Order: sequence, then C-alpha cells, then structure tokens
Amino acid sequence: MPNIKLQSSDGEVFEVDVDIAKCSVTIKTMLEDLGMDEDEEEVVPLPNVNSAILRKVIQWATYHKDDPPPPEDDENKDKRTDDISSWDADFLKVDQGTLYELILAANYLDIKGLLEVTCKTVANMIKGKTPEEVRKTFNIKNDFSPSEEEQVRKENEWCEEK
Amino acid sequence: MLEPILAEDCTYTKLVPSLERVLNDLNENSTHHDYMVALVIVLLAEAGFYLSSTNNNYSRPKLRSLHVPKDWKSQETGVYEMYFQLETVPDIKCKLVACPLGDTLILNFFPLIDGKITYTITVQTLKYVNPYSSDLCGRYMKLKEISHRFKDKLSTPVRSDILHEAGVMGPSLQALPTELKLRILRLLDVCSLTRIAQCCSEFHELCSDAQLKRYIILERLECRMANGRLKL
Repeated sequence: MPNIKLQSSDGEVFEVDVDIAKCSVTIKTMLEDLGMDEDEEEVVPLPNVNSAILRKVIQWATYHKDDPPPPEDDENKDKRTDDISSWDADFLKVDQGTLYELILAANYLDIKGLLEVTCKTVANMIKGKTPEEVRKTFNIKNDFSPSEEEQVRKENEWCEEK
Repeated sequence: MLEPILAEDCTYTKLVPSLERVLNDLNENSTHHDYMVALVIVLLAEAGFYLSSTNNNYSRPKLRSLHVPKDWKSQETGVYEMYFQLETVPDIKCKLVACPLGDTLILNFFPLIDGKITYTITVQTLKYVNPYSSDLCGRYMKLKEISHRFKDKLSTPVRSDILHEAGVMGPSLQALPTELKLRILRLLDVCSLTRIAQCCSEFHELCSDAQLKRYIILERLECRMANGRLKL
C-alpha cells in the first residue's frame, strides 16, 4: 500500500496508508484536485489539527478502514444516539477538550463517521440532565436575569412530564 | 500495538514520551507530590498550556521537549508555583499553585485576568503515584481518571476563560461553530432540548430555531405514533 505524509499544525509528520488517509474527504479531494501523485514525496499540511489530535484521528481511521462507506446524507434518518460501538465508546473516553478538538478535526477533515460518533457522545452527555447539571458539565455561565430565567422555565414547562 | 498518545494512554510497559521526558528531570529524592506535579506539567501541555518563558527567543513548544523548571517548588513551604501560557494566546498568563498538605495535594489553577475564577481540585496523590516502584511505568496509576478529572475541572475551564477573554474560538461546547452545535442539538430529544435551552441565552436562541424544533417534534410524534403511545 502506498503511504502519504500528513503534517500536523505543530510540525509533526505522520506516514499513513493512502486508503486510510482518504477516509477524510478533505484529504481525498486535496489529493485528487492537486493531482498529488501517490508515490511522490509530498507532505500534506493540516494546519488546523495538532499532533495529539491527528494521532487520535489516524487511530480511529485505521480501526474503521474496512467499514462500508457511510450512506448519503438523509435528513430524516434515525437519530439514535445509543448505537455507539464499544470500540468507539472506549476510544472516546477522553476529556471534554479532546472530544471537542476531535469534533473540530472531524469536521475540518470531513470524516463523516467520526463526526457522527463524537456528536452523539456529546448529545448523550446532555441527555437526562437538568439545566443546572448541563451548566455544570459544560461550564456554561447562566446569563439570564432572574426574571428571564423564570420566563424561560415557564415556556419550557410543558415538556416536563409529571 | 500503537504508541501511547496522551498521558492517560500509558500502559504498564510503555510510558508516553512526553511523560518519560519530564521524569528525566526527577531523581531518587523526588517525592510523590513531585511526581504528581510533573504529571500535571504534561497534562497541561496536552491541553495547550506551556511553561511561560521570559526568553525572547521564543521557540514553538513541543510536547516531547517538556521539562521541570528548576525553581518550581519553594524550599521552605514545599508549595509549587509555576506560570503557564496558551500557545495560541501567549499574552495572557495563568498560574498553577500546588499546595501539599500531608499526602493530599491541592491544585489551584487560574488565569491572570480581571474577574478571574480560581479552579481547584484536591488530589490524594498516593492514589495515582507510587514513587517507589522500581519500574518507571509502575510509578503512575489510574492515569485516565486523574487526567480527565484534571482537564475537565482545571485546564479546560481556564482555557475557556482565557479564550473568551481573548475572543478566540476554542474547544468547548459553547465555542464550537454554530453549525456543529446545531448538529449536536439535532440529536437531542425534545425534553433534553428544552432543558439545555434553559441554560443560557445562547442555547435558548439556538433551540428556538424553528426548523430545529419542528424537526425534533416531528420525529418525536412519529416515534410515539409508532409505539402507539400518542396522547393528545
């Protein structure tokens, strides 16, 4: 298998199997558009991803390299968030900062599967929590005045099933 | 077998290179707290914080070239004090103060900005460090637990505060681009959505996005009808 070199924002170079790197639509397009020859000693710069995160992304892509291609975007598709595989769940047992960096990297590199599973992980962290618990978990500052807060609470009351 | 990436990925046989590098600066007289604070230097670097240098020939910090500063600890009190800065926001400094209290270590971390908040955790050092292990890899335990605790309680909030002050986007839920926040919100059920809407004005606005609400309510109705639970 031919390899290509990816360079992280902090200058580290990773040699990766082309097929694995191509799970990123961004890299795939870059290779095609720029006509980068696969056996050339070209380095693909990825200025938005640091080495720690790029390493994680490569780890994820390597594990998922034989996955079938993701289905075309379907707005009405299933929104389950409880179908995360145990390997992915374990892979995503990271601190929140790393999790968001992975989301940003997956978005930038356009890796659908990784973006999906990371967003689901965050959604699962929100689910079932009270507003105060959500604030605490995500360090969100309450910027409502007491009267606004009361109003917002009222307008959302209908959903709290007794 | 993949090489460990973050400190939390260390195994019984392999330390992550950044931690290995920092441990070179310790010696046989180093205490359990020294080991803990050395680990903290690595965890901070992973979160993007590097030791501040007054050096004008500032070179790009590297995870693999970390070190323990010579004057990190007061000889009289044993309190560790160090200044850090984010690579992306070098003009805002922050300070780490680690106070040993018996076998407990109180870690305080705060940015040097107006209206700062000091974030604190208390660590039972011996739960994570065994300085007497003959094997270098055996000196740390439960790295994943301490790493997540440290990052979620100290480094991530301080980083958010600094980035907020500097007006820079950063890796926190609120700092994600709107498009990605909506992507996450779309995965929520109606109840979770109304609850996060009550957290702050920004999420309130995002959740009021009519399309998002319609999308989720429709999905919910469909699901209830399918289960024959629809009550109107």
